[in-house]
Amino acid sequence: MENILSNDMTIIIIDDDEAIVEVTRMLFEQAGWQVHSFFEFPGFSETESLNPDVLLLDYWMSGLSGKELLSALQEHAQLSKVPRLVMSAMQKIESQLQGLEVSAVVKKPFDIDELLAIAEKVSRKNNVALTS
Amino acid sequence: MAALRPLQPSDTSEPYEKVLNTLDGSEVHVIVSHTRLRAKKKIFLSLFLNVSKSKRLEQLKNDFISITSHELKTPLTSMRAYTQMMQKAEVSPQISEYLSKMIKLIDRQNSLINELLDLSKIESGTLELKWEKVAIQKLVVQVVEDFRVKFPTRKVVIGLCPIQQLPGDHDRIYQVLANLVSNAIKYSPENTPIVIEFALQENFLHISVKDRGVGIKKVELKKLFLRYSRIHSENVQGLGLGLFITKKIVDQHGGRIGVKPHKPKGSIFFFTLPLKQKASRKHD
Repeated sequence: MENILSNDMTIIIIDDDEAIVEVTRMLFEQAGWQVHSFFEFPGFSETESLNPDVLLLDYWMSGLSGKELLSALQEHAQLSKVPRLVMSAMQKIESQLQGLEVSAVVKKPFDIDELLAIAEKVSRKNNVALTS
Repeated sequence: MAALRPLQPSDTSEPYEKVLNTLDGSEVHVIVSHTRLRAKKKIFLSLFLNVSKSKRLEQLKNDFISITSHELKTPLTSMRAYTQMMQKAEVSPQISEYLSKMIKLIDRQNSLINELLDLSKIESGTLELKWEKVAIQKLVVQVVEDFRVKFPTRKVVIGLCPIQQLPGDHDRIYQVLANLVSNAIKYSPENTPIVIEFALQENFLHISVKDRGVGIKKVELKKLFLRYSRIHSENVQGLGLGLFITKKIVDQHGGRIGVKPHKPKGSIFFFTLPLKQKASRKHD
């Protein structure tokens, strides 16, 4: 696949599965995104310093649970403004997300075109309401 | 002392589950049944069957299936993504066709995992519906559009729904209709249309999926909605759980599902959904 022009957007990918991190990193890089990937949450200050347009998070990770992480992010002064895209292999993930603010949910195994389209749609640069 | 009268079937209540708190603070799961012994004095015999152990085992089994299915889906995610990325690279039409087949097989594997999860929930009675207002016409169009991506040449005709919305679980109703449309596509010739129609019948919406396929033999009708049953056992892959799960979802909504011949050739699968949310039975 050809590397298309940069779309000037940054995504942070957090998943404890190495293969998923690798393939999603390649996917977004080839689509022109600037990508930072982690196997666990890198902490608020590092996340904030990377100035992401989208956070792509796995819900079920070892260590900090998806629920705890999402709750903490939506309470955070700056990071609460960053769209949070949750990916999960849980069949009924929607019920786990009740009461949590997320921009979209992508079920694993996902379609790569769909994932890219959703990430672009929810990204901070395409969503004026979140940046205001 | 008055003699006990002969017991009638109506004297015994339907058994139900209850959680009791013991003095040490632990919980005991019991199945309770009351039997009326003397009508006038309202004397009942109550039976409590402790099912805590089987509940614990059931929970362990459900947790095991839930974790296993999650772990099985994780590598499928990377496999599907890599396969799609390969397809987007410059490959020959033949390789592209092989890769399309791989994606279909990965999706099939994912469906099998979901079916096992659903079966586990049905068996443990934990298949819960997320009640909401469902825009039914929109949902049907969405199902057909999703199939159009995979089967662009199949003609599916959609009738006009007489109501805008009804209560139900959007994803589960999607699953029911997708299963019926998928079967209709699978078991009818490529050049025949599939028709989805709606009708209001008293307090229910009646949705039918009509095909011009091979039809269902009378001997197959009785076992059609049972687990591990297949419409036509030859040349068909899968666990035979699709219609069983579909029926359970419709039952859970308070509707019913069935099939009848579509003369001169083919089948009409139909299901009904109540216009008002089914009341759930509770015991205090």
